[in-house]
Amino acid sequence: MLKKRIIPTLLYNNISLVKGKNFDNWRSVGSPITSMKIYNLRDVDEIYFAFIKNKDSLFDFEFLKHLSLECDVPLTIGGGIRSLMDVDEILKSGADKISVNTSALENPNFVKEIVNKYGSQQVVLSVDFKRINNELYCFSNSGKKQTNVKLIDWIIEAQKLKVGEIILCSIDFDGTMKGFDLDALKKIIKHVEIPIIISGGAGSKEDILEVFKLDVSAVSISSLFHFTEITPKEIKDFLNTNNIPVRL
Amino acid sequence: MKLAIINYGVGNINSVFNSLYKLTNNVKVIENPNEIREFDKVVLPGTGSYASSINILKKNNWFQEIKDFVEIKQKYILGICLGMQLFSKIGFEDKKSNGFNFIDGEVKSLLSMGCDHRLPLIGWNDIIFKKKSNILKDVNNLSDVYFVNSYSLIPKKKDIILTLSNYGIDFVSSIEKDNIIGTQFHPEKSSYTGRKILENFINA
Repeated sequence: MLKKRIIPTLLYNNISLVKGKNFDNWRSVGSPITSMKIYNLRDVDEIYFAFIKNKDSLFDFEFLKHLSLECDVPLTIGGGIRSLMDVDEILKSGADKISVNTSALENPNFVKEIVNKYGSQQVVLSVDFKRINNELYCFSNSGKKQTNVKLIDWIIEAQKLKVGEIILCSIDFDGTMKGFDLDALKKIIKHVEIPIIISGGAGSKEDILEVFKLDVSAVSISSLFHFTEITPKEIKDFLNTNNIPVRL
Repeated sequence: MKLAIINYGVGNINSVFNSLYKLTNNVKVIENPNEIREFDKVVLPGTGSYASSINILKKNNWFQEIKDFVEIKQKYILGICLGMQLFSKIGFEDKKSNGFNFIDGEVKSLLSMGCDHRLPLIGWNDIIFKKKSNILKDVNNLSDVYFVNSYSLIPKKKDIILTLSNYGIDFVSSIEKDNIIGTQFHPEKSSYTGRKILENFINA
């Protein structure tokens, strides 16, 4: 049976790992290589590593090689990927998947190009959304820019572009640790046929159990690991006793 | 023992290399088909589609070199994911195309096989042992390994099946036929279980 995945999310601003609240108020939360080593030792299911950087700054591929060497489980890299060359170099540096958000919203054809070259399974669409007048809208540029694209429309279109997975992040819930945006999730889940990773709001083991009762494939977790003593193992043991299939 | 990883231009060679290099210094990524002759064992990774990969392998002269290595020299090959699927006679991804034909069988989509779960299949799933093999030495039945696929190899002869896995339907997750070994999952991304399987291949 396929297991539900617990994916620690590491956000990196080219200086240190950071974590914010509602995509703002960033706090430094440690060194990327050290954190990677720890998560690897703790045998998490997968790691999501995203750059929060200026769109003109370049990727440090040597750093990525070093990072991926520490990772014995699948590694997804995202944040600021603008060209097929970025994708080539990131995958060559040892990442297993890439995630795109802003560049996909600006140019959906770019997604198609990556899928054609590498296949769906290596492409994760990252979608950051927020409620505006009770409607869900997509945001680009690390949550800074509102688009006029409605969440549901984009999710339907993205599946036609053949992305392999969707990572959904509620900006309203991000970093709040008050539970996932279940209302939004329930609205869109029936429109999604590919695996969904839900992000934004995990504050307890119970929150994660709650979201896994829906047909979600994985949860992405950041604050809960950065700011509390809860470990991936504890979460998995808890899920296991509640009959959610996990890798122990 | 000299081990090569075949890099025919698509996909992620680095993570396969990293995981093998942690086990042996005698591993090299090769990009020139002629080089294969100097090696004792090869790993054929793969991402992308069946049809396009076979096309590239044929265009760059890899196809015949690999065929000779496996069928004439009878040396060990490990196919990972699409790499294993290419061992089949026919694949149906993109369009119908012919593979290496090391294994009498076809590659079909999980969807067409009756899978009604979210696709692609991405994540950790257990392997159900079907027979004993040195490749599975010190690996426990029902260990979890990492999968990323929408297609699956259906061999005609069931006695080559090492393990099955289930995703709504049963599908073949690894095979072994003499010197030919294949895993649908990614041992290079499967933590300690994957490491053990790669180690067993190196020692085979």
